[in-house]
Amino acid sequence: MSSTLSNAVRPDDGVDPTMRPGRLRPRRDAQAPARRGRLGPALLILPALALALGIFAYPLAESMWRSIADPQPGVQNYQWFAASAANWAVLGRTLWVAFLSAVICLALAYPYAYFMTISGPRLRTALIVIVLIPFWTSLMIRSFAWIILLQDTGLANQVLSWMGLGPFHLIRNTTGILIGMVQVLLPFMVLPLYSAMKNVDLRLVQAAASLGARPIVAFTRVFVPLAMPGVVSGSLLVFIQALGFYITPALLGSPSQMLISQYIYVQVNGQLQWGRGSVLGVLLLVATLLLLGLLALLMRKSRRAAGDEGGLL
Amino acid sequence: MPDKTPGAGTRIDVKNVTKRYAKSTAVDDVSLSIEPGEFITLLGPSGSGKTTTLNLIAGFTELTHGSIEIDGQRVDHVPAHKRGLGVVFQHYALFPHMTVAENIAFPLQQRKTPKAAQAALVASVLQTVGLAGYQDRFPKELSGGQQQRVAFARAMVFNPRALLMDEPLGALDKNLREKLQLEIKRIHQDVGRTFVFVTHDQEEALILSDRIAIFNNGRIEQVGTSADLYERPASLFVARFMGESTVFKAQVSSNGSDWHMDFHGSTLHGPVTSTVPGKGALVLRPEQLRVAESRADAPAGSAAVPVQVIQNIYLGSGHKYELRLPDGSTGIVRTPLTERTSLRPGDSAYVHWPAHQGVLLEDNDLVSTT
Ligand SMILES: Nc1ncnc2c1ncn2[C@@H]1O[C@H](COP(=O)(O)OP(=O)(O)OP(=O)(O)O)[C@@H](O)[C@H]1O
Ligand SMILES: [Mg+2]
Repeated sequence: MSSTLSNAVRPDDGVDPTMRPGRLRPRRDAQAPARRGRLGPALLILPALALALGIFAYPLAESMWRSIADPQPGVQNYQWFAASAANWAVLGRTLWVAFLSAVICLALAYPYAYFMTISGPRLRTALIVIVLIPFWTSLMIRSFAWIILLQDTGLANQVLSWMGLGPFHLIRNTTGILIGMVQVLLPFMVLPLYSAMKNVDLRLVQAAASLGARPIVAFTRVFVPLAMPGVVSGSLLVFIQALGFYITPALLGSPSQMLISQYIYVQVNGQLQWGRGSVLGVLLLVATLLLLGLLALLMRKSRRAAGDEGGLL
Repeated sequence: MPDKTPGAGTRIDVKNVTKRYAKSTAVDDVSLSIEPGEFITLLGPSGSGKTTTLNLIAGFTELTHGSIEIDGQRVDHVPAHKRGLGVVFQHYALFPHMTVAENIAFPLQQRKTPKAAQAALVASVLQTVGLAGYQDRFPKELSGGQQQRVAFARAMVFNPRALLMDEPLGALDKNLREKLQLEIKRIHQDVGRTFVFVTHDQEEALILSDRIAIFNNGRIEQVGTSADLYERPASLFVARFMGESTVFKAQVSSNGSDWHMDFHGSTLHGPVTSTVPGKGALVLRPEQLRVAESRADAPAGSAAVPVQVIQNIYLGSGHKYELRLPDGSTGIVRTPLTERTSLRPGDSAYVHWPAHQGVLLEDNDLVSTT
């Protein structure tokens, strides 16, 4: 048999119901009627667009401008940043803490989300509610609660000492920041993971078994790659949010180990150095964009398999 | 590539297998012996337990009772990945993140086939299914029929003990389906493996199968060749499911050698060949029946029942009559062109047949038409 033969029985203008979206696109003229009605919906996005421009694009442009114009025009603010190792350390620490938050969230959320996909509807609802509980209390209150729980004489250390461990310093350091951030950010990992996992066709795992794959192989070679978009979007959400955290590191971290948002606050509020604060913001943005670009490069292959439908990147 | 010796297939024995779910019994005490190299089709209406039976054989589902043996060895507690059976799914189940070549190589990797041998096997099986040159496409970049071929290639490439297929052609259009039916039949003849095929399309079952198992309500009603099922149906369900039939229902009495029924004033009778049911249903195929304009035109000694003509359709090769029986049910008769009548819709007529013909079955319909 030949592939041309099987094509011959198919009408050529994409009406074959067995055709999956992919290579063959409808002919251009088939799209014409849809194009006419496109202006209306376009108008409807205007409010959101205006809001986005107002609260995002304008301040961003302002920051960029100030980084080279405040207090006087020139690159002195960038020179100030580059000259001090302590500045680099803050940027590096911020990226590192955000990365660790994403990794820890992923490690905690992956089994959790997987369990959600295989459990019944009632248990699943309960699991979602549990993960969303942090959203119902204020960030401030939660951070103070952590201080009480995690201080050297707090409940956590009491429990550890009953088990013959500790005491450990759990706050005023990176550990404290991570505990606080992971708790806040966990839902942002669980939810995208769950939504990616529930879309994985578990029959594919069954098919892998029928082809001789042991359960662990079927899981790692079929389930894990197919759930990968959830890992990527969850990790990005957590990582990017973690970069900008202020309250949690301010309350649970140590002033000697500042993160960049605290440092910006110090520059702008404490020393009225708007230009330096802006440089910190701009450099954080650049570093983040570089990382995202790298990730997008790595994701190329899976995008083709997904029929170019695209994910977050 | 699969062993080419004819009859090199595997024997599968399903013994008194039951599968119960919380609210239903999907498979109810099913027994089925599948011979080595046989092409057997599980045929039945939706929800009759075909997929469940196939999944039990494949090892995707745990059985509640009974046992399954492959080549005489019990496998009901052997996990799917150790049963060595190839499975083709209705939804293809191709791995979307792997290319065609990677999909087909997957079972070979699990079996630690050397890399070079893998490449050769993949190329050769792609040739067999007519997809040479497609190895670097992703499943999304293929048409439904092409995806189906890849699924078939992937299930065949590791030379499985038997190939199980669950409505593999169900999602394809008619032309393509007919083409692939012939290809599957050819490949079955070439490789001589045991094929277990699920469909609810009676015509597809007739084209492909050596034997057909008719499923109804989680049970097997009958297993046999197409001719067995058509000429000697074991139940009213099978008679109706396999082709057209005319059914005469009435109380049956027996004198030991012959049975009799009084069908709305017409006496029908025949020789006793098995247990005579109380409520009987005499089944006749359209080719066994003839139509006459009056009782006198029917041969002496034949059975005859008065009917009303609903339609008389000229088919080129002959005539097809639709008739209203005295109990209100519909009868179907096909006659060759040589036996033309001038009957028109609304006319009274007689349907008749040589008295010994027909199969007497138990009338187990829940609602009787009489
Ligand atoms: N996982 C399950 N849980 C509960 N009931 C099930 C399950 N799988 C199947 N059943 C029930 O078992 C019966 C048989 O289902 P099965 O899928 O075997 O039918 P089928 O003959 O393959 O039908 P179809 O032609 O529609 O595919 C159905 O009544 C179905 O509702
Ligand atoms: Mg089915």
